[in-house]
Amino acid sequence: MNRPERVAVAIIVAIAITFLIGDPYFSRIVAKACVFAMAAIAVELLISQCGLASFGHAGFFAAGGYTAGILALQGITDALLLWGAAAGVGALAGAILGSLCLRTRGLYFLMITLAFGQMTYLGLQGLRQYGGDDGFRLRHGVALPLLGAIGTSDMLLVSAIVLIAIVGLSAYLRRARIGALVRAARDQPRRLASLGIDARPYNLVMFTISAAITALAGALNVALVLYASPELSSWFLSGNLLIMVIFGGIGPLAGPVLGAAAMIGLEEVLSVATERWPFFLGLAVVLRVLLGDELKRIAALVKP
Amino acid sequence: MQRNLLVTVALVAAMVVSPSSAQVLKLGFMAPMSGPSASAGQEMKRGLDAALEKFNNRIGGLETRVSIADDKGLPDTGAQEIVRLIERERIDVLSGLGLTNVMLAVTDPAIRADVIVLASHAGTGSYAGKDCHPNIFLTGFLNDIFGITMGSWLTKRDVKRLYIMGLDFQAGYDIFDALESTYKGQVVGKKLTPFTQVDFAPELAQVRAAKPDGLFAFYFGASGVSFPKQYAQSGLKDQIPLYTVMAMSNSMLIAGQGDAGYGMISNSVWNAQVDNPSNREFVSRFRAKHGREPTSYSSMMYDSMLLLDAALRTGVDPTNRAALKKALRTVKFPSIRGDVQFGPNQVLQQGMVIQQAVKDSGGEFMLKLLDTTPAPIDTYAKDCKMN
Amino acid sequence: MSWPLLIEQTFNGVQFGLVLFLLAVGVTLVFGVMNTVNLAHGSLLMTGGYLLAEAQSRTGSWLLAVVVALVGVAVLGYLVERLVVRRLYAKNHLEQVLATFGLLLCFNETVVWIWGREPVPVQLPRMLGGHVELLPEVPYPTYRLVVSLVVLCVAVALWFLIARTRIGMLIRAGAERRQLVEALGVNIGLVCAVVFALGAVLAGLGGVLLGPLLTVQPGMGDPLLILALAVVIVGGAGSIGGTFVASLVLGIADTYARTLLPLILGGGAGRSIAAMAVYLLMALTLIFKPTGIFGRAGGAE
Repeated sequence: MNRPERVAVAIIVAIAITFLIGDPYFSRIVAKACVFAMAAIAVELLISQCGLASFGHAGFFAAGGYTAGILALQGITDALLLWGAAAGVGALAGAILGSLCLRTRGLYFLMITLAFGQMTYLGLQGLRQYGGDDGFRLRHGVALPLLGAIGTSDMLLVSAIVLIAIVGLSAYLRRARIGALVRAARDQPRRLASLGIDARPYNLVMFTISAAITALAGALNVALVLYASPELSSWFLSGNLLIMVIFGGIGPLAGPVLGAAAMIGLEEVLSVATERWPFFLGLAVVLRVLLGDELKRIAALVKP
Repeated sequence: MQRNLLVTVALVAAMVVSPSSAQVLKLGFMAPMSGPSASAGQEMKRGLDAALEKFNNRIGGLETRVSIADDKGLPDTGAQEIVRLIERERIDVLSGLGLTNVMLAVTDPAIRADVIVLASHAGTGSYAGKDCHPNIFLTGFLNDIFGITMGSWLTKRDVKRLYIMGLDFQAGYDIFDALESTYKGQVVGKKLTPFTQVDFAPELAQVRAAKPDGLFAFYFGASGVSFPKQYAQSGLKDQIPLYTVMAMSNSMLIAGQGDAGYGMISNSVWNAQVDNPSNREFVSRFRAKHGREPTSYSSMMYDSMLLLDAALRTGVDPTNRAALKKALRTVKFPSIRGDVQFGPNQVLQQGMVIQQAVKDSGGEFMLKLLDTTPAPIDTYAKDCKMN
Repeated sequence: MSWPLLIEQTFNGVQFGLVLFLLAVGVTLVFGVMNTVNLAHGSLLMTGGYLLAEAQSRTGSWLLAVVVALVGVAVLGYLVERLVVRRLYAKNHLEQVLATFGLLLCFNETVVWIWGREPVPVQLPRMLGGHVELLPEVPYPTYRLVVSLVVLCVAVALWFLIARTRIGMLIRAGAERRQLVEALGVNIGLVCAVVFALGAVLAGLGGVLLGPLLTVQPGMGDPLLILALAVVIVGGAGSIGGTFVASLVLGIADTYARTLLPLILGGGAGRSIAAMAVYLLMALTLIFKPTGIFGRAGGAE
């Protein structure tokens, strides 16, 4: 699924079905899937376009969440302001960290993003005035201009709308000149250099956008759960985002959305079935990686 | 599975025997059943199971339907699960809650749905003070009473120079601040370590250099096992007495601690030797089933069910929240802790015990009761304005 | 900070660094020869600890338990390599990271399945339970000294193996010129299996040595694994000598940071930065000299 319109329709259909089912718990899980799909899109963008896999994106997720949360603690409830600030902080952090991390590639990039993600985690744990290791809760939800306060069921709609917007952004970046440039840099770095084009500023732009999207997702997550804690920056969450990306497939526009839905759905179903669910999740990941090529071949055979 | 069968049988029996008792108690239980804090959550469930066994799945004489929620130790998951418990299971009472951050994430939704919260383990000072609410009952303990009582007791015991060590997080700060407020001797050093730290050799070297008369340490879980082991290995155990809280000295950790676990003096809200009929029954039942003493996780959970049972036996309908709240507030229940009652902020006021980890006559682990201390004054109560 | 304290902290730092080396050298070998990242390496350490605890509780002999544990981890390492890791050599680093992350989850839950969540007991052998006076006024746990000595011996033996034996030559050749070695008719598959098993045994030894010190519980190896990754990066992926130096540097740096920084910078900030110290070093290395102290260029593209 590569056309943004088709992906948007699929999301709308899914949301409509959720509303029809009318179960608040199920609605909440779908909202969570929308939020994490956004972050997964951000991670996937870097991998599919720039060839860079980040193991530290949870750091931006937490940064966005904490920004929105801390501002909310000061009494600000305007969603546009909160989420805009979160995205802004994410972009700033992305620009700064990107300029450092983009000096590396491949496995080294993976490791340095892991290191920064961990440092964010430890830094947030040290914020005693914001609950330190425990984190903090928000007593009120956010409010949209004209529409007033957003309840939990409204968050589902809002998350879906923002997700569709992010899908559109992802499609745009793929089609735009910057997408072509970073893909060229990923595949044929020497050729590009011989043309006199330095790919680094473009990679930095992509990294910054990716960080901003993830931070926005983090802010939405805090609005949904009404709680922020350093766990949002753990390498475990970064790993989960990568798992979502690989479940959904790298390349197709709908990949991260499907991957997020699959992973969260799988986690839900497994948790109900057994307390040993991490075992089966791990097994699913291993199988997905080992059999990935076989699955692609089967899919290619099945496709008309 | 077995419990579902029992509940069905009880339901049928109830319908046959007393057609009028159509009332049902829908009880929610939320705890970390998986993840890093799982041992606490699983132990709390053992306390719940002991209570259900005692009351034959009829707490307060009512058929009891239990909904178990695994919060995995994460506030996010807790916030999600509370939606399920409230909307789908329609619980009347939420019990359990092993972690404070999860409790913080779930109490607002619970209160909005007029669900009663019986927190048997978690609880921060804010719930006892400015964030108190008629729906919230703290039947466990607040962290600072550990610090308050230990500080006074160490002063009484004439420990002149004290070194403090522990985990670097909010509950730790509560305890250490409270300890330092009542301890009148000299604090010669204070070292807080992160959760992920498993090797304490550098810190122990500094303890040795400071030459205190006693070391107060607050660790639990993984570090609750490795810290005492390393303390013993470093030779400090024989030179400097170790004082701690119940989280680091109990029947669950002693297997991992081994010999290093004996000798520690800790304080606790409850001890297996506290002599009253409720406690004797509970301890013997638990011992028969699990082969060891209960810990505070299971005992506090069990006690909260004793409270709920007593409140419901006054004849209230669980769906009548106002009446149930009043009953919980005022009823006298046979607590395993002896004589306890709620303060005006709906926090259980209780004395504490001082105990020491020793081997009993059979060579088995036992927490010997050394001393009891009166209930510390609740410093949060004045901030609580319950309407 | 007095002299006895400084000496004791230095010994602590060295001992911590040496244990890190046991874990890191397996990671660096697997990376150097097979160009593969293995996040489940910490699980092998954990297995060593659990097998030690189980064997000790059944036989009552620490020594026998050590042997059982090491053999058990070697077997497990071989199985893991054959069934899963072998298929990862041709895949890219991201897929390797994810697949071994999945393995990590499986290992942790399996351990819970078998032994439950509470830590299991491991007893120190009596004769190793006392102290040694390094200097007057500096008693140091005997066991920690023994651990350091054992690792040093292992390091020397490893050096000898790699530098002076035929299999060591094959390993070095496999790391530098894999296809050429294959073309010369060497069974590269066997070399890879041996390398992985060797790394596994070293990790298992780490678990065996740490068992009595720390807590044998689910996930005990994972925090150490992250540190080991930092060591491998700083020392240079693929270089054993670099890993050795980096282990000691990071071990001592971490120990000093934890004890000195809170004194210099004051409580909260000091503690946070102290915890970050290792990651800061890792990031700095990646920014300024990604191939590490002794690393080879172009090893991780």
